[in-house]
Amino acid sequence: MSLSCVIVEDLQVAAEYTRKCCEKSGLLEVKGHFTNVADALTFLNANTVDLLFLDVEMPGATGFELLDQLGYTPKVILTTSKAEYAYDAFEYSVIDFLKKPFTYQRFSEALQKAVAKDNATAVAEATADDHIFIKSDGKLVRLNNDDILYIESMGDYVKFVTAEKKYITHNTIKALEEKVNKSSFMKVHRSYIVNLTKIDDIRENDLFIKGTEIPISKAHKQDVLKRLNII
Amino acid sequence: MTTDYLVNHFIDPITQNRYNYFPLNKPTDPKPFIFNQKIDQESLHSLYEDDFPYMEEIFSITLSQLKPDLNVFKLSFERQDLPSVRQMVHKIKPSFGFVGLPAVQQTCKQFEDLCANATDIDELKTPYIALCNQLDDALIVIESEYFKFKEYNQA
Repeated sequence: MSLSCVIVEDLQVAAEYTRKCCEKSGLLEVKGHFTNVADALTFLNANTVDLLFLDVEMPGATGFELLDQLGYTPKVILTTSKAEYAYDAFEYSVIDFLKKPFTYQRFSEALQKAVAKDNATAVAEATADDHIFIKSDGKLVRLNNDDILYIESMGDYVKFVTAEKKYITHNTIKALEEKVNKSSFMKVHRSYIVNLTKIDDIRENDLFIKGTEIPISKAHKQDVLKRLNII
Repeated sequence: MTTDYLVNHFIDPITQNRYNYFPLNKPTDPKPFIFNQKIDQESLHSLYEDDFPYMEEIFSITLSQLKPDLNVFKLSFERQDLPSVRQMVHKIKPSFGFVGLPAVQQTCKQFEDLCANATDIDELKTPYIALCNQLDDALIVIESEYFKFKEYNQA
């Protein structure tokens, strides 16, 4: 088993040491190293990773601000030299807290916790894929798959549209495509994921859900038609 | 003029092979590395065991970032920019832990705490001067250890 990870750390020597620990573990694939929150966010919103090694105090913004702005919730191991952050770490449900410099033994213990949590999450996802949780207005909101009509891209944000309400959250269609239940949802255009059970009709290169016209791209049209129960 | 024949002439092939395998000018046991007394060897060993090439790399990376960061730290103090002083000492603090100088890391921590509680940067003048002296000494130690590692690893 291999977990993808990213190191967000402004101190070069700490980043290099963490990278070496990752390599030594044989369990981690380092996808990148970023020295500030802005660059890390750009990468993380376009690429989903399993685990973040995250420093707290960095130029511009803190590691906690990165977690607030991220559209999904990877497992997080904080790497900091300030023990005072332990309480915040607990608040953000981070997996472990490594005080720099840490030994490989200590790193390994933290990694084992991440692996254990990854296994537990996989089980939870398999048994509860009839809903998702999204971060919206500073809280986690539960949305049942059956209530979602479609998801629309808005640049660095996406809009979840239900019959009752619209929710905007920081995420990308690309990242969500991997996360949503594939038996109900399908990407029909680079800017849209739709709930297949909610399609009312299709006219040429558009589909309609509750009166909203949604384009189907040429690249996706054949796949969309295959998924529909056409007699 | 070569004089190899003076020796080789009298050495049988089996003995020659042994000489080649265990060269006389290189000891089979590695020569011990003598650390600077200010370096906490136990702390270094807990991080890198006896991987001297890795220690050389770590000391090199530390030096290349620490020198400009120390300049920014000192400039920030001269400009009386307290948030920047605190941020820089926070940033450089763990560097010393990675190079076996945990006492310097601890002094940085104490200064960072003073920064967090200070209302006027002038309150920090005395501890700042003491810290700068310690940091300058530490930089000399790190640099000298780096060159020692380099020489040791090339031998």
